[in-house]
Amino acid sequence: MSERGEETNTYGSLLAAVVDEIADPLLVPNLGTNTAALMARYPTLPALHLWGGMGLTHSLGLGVALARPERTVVVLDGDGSLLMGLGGVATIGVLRPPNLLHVVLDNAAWGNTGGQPTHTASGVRLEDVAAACAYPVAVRAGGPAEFVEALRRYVAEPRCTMVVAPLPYGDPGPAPRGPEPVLIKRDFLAECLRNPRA
Amino acid sequence: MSSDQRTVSRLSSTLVPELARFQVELGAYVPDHLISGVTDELRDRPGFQLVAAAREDEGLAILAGAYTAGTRGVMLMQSSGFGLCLNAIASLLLPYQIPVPMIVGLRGGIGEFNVAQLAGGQSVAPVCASLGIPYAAPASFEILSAILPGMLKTCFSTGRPVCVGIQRSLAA
Ligand SMILES: [Mg+2]
Repeated sequence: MSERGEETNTYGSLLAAVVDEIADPLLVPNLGTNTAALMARYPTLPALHLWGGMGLTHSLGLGVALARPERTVVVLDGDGSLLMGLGGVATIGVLRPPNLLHVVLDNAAWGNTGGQPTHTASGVRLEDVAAACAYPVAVRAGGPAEFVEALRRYVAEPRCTMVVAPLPYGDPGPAPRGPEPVLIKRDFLAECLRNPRA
Repeated sequence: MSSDQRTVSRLSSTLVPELARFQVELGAYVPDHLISGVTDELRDRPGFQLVAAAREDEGLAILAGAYTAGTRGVMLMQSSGFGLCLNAIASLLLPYQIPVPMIVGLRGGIGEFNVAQLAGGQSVAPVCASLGIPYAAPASFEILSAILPGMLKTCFSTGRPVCVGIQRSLAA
């Protein structure tokens, strides 16, 4: 239960909310648990599934957002990855593309190496980092209802946004055997080029 | 400095038109004084977007994301920052076959005063060799002009990064 007495965020609740609330998103999931959770639940959504690029997920998402300003880009980041790339948060704060929605699934754990605590387990607040780096919107969504509310606020007024969603650490299960990176890239590029820029 | 006050460096007049010919529309950089003439020109170039990254690996990731979304990019950095790029190259650019030309200002060569630049600068060529990344550090503008089209062709045709080291003698 969150502070507001709601249910706890889960991979299932967070991904379902993104799929329900954001029309036609381009997804950039962090390597490991987020890519695994997305592939298991929504294998056909256009996504740049990552098997590498540790610490660089949000920067990849920034590049996608700059190249396709007409599409909403949803980064599904992890707390450990983002902590590795805090400089990239500052770069996003400089550019602030309105089509970039930066979601952080914060399980306060290194999910790929056995769940060791990350710095967020000791009180580091990534939404405060984003706010200090000039993201126009940086909020914490303690439960599913708050998360949906944050997404709806983004849709109503798209501005570069970080939403940090704390969730309990739990092994999401083995990653499905996905396509090779080069095929992931091919399909993602084809999706991006499907509708040429105006 | 505004563009009318600046004399375009010979380095940028060699590099920039060739990048344009290969439809490179995006750049990322971390400043380096050896190649600052190039970044200065790209910053003001119509139809080109230049992004200041906080770190060099982050710059490569921005360009990788843009490439997967249909936009070609170039990375500009100093050899000291190339040392931060191994993860981005090895776990992102190479497995996903993402082409990014890397223009690297070389420290650590003959005349270097700073011992902290020596090993890093000298490591660029062997690191590229160990990763299978085409690398050249042309000794003159004539050689740079001669190899650049081929480097960019190999980069974008084979879907892998290439590295052009810029020696101090080409910086003027
Ligand atoms: Mg985590």
